[in-house]
Amino acid sequence: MEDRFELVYRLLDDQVVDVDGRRCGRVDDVELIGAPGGPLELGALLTGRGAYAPRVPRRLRRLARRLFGDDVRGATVHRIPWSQVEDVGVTVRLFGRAEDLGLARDDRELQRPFERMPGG
Amino acid sequence: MTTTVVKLSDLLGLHVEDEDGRALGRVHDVRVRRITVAEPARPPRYQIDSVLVGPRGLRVRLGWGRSREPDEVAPDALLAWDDVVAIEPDRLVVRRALKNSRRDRS
Amino acid sequence: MKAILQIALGIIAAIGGFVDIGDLVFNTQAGATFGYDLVWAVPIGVVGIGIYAEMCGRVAAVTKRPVFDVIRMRMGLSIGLVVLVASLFVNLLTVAAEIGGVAIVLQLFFDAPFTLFALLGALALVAIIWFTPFEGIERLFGYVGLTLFVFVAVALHEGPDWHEFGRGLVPDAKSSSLYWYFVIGLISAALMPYEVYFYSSGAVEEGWTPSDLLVNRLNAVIGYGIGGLLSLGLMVASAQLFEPAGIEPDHLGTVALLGQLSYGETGLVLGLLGMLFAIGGAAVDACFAGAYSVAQFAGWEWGKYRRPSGAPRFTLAWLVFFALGLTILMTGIDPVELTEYSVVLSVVALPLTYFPILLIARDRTYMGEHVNGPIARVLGWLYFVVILVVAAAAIPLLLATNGGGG
Repeated sequence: MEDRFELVYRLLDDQVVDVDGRRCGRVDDVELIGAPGGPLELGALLTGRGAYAPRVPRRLRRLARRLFGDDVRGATVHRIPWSQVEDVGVTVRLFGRAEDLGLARDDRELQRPFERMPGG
Repeated sequence: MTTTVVKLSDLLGLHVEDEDGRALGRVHDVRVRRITVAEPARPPRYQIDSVLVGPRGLRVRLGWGRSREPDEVAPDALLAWDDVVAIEPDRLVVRRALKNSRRDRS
Repeated sequence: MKAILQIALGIIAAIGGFVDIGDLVFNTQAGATFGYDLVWAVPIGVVGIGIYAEMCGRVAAVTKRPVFDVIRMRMGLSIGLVVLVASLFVNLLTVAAEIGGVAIVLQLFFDAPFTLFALLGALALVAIIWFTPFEGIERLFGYVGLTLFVFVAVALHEGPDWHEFGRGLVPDAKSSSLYWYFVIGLISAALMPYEVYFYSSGAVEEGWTPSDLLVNRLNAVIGYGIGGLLSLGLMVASAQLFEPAGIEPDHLGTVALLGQLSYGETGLVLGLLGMLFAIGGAAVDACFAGAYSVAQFAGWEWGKYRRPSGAPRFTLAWLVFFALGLTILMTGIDPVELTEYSVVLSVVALPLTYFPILLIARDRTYMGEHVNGPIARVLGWLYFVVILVVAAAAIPLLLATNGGGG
C-alpha cells in the first residue's frame, strides 16, 4: 500500500474481494475514527445499499432511502474493519472469507437453489 | 470525550470556509497518510492528512491533472487537516491565511 | 500456430456478430430511401465502435475493469446511478427489440403466432446461455451470422453503381431532416453501448492480460472493419433492389427478399439464417450487458465463468432482463419501431459511458505504458465530439421526422 493516497480516488467505490477471490460488494463509504482528542484514522469500510443514501445529493436523500433502504448494520450495510483489509490495489483484498465477515449473504442464500438445477 | 466517527460521505461535498468566512470550495477528496508499517496479518494504519477542495480539486478527482505525473496533485487544492478548526454539519472551517502560504511550491 | 487459429476464430466470430436488428433496419431503410447517399455514415460508425471497443478492451485487459466497474469507480455513486439507470433502460429496449426480431424471423420460417415465437425464442436463448460456455455462445452465433455475407454477395452480383457509391462517400450538407435522422441512426446502430459492456466484460471473463492487447486491436480493426462490410452490403443491396422499386423494408421479411431476388431459395434461407443468428446473438449480448452493468455497479459476483450457482444474483439479473424484454414485446409494440427507438435513445446515453472510459484509457496511473497512444488520443477525443453532436441531435431529429416516418 502507498504512503499516502486519496480515499475517493483510490478506495471509495472499489470492488471488495475476499481471500478466495470472490467479489463481495463495493466500498460504498469509509469510516474515519478518532480516539478522544486524537486524530481521525481510517477505521472501517462500509458496504451495502443502505450506504447509498448519504452519498446522494441532499435533496434526493429521502428518495434514495425509499429506494435503497436505511443504514441497518448487519442487514443493508456491513462494516469491514480496516484491520481486515490486506491490500488496496485494483481491488480491495480482504484477509478473510466473505462468509466470516457477513458479506455477500444474498449470493450465498441463492446458491443452493441454483446448485440443485441441472447445469447450475 | 467520546470516540468520533466521521464518514467519508459526511465530508464529501462539504463547503470549506476560512475563519473569516471566505469560501474556499467544496471537499472533493480526503487524503490519508500512513502512520505505521504493515505487519504480517495487519494492514498499516492511516491517518487523515488533508482534504482536496475547490474546482481544481474536482478536476484532479476526475483524473485530469494526473495523467502526466501520477503523484503530483495540485498543491493549492490541498488543505492540511491540521488547519481544520471545526467540522460542522454543513461546512468545514479552516484557519485563515491558508491560501497564501500554499502558493509557493517549494 | 494454435494461438493464431484461436485469434482468427475469435475475429471471425466478431465479424459475424457485428450486425444486429438495429443495423439491419437502419442500413436497409437508408438504402431503400436514399440509395447510395448515406454510404459515408457507415464507416463513421464502424470506426467509432472500433475505437470505443479497443479502448474498453485495453482497459479491461490492463486494469481488469470492465465498463461499469470503471463508471462506478470514476464517476462515483450518484452519477454512476444515473448512468446505470439510463443504460439499463436503453438496454432493455434493445433486448426486447432483438427478441422481437428473432420472433419475426422464426415466423418467416414457420407459421405460428408472434407471441409464441417470442416466448420460444427467449426460452431457446436462455437454454443456450445456460448450457453453453461463454466462448461457445459467441462462436455459435458469430459463425452462423456470417451467412449475412449473402447480402454482400447480392450487392456485388447486382453490380453496384460505383459512380453513385463514390458520390455517397461525401455527406450532403443541405439534405432533409430525414437524411440526418438516418445518419444518426446508422452511426448509433453501429455504436450500441451494450456491445462494449459485453465486450469488456467478456475480456475479463476470458482472463485477458496485456499480452492479449494485440488480439484486442485485431478484433477492433479487422473484426469490426469487416463486420462493417455487412452493413454496407445491406445498404448497397437495398439501394440496388428496393430504391428503384420504391419498396420500403418495414418488415424484416422484406430484407430477406434481397437474398431471394439474386439467389432464389438458397439466398432467402441463407439470409434468414444469418438474420436469426445475428439478432439472436445480439439478444444474448444485450441481455448480458444489462446483467453485467447491474452486478458490476453493485459489486456482486458476476460472470458466466462462475456458473449460475457461483454468481446467483448475476444469473437472476439476466433472467429477469429476458423476462422484462418479453413483457415489453407482449404489449404488442412493433419490433421494428421499437428497434428505431432503442437505437436512437441509445446514442443519447452513449456520452455518459464513453467519457469515463476515455478518461481511464488516458490515465497513466491506471494504464501504465498501455495508456492511449497518439492515434487513440486523437481519435478518442474526436469521437467524443462526434458522439456528443449525434447525441444532441438525436431526439430533435426523431421528433422532427416523426420517428423516421418522414
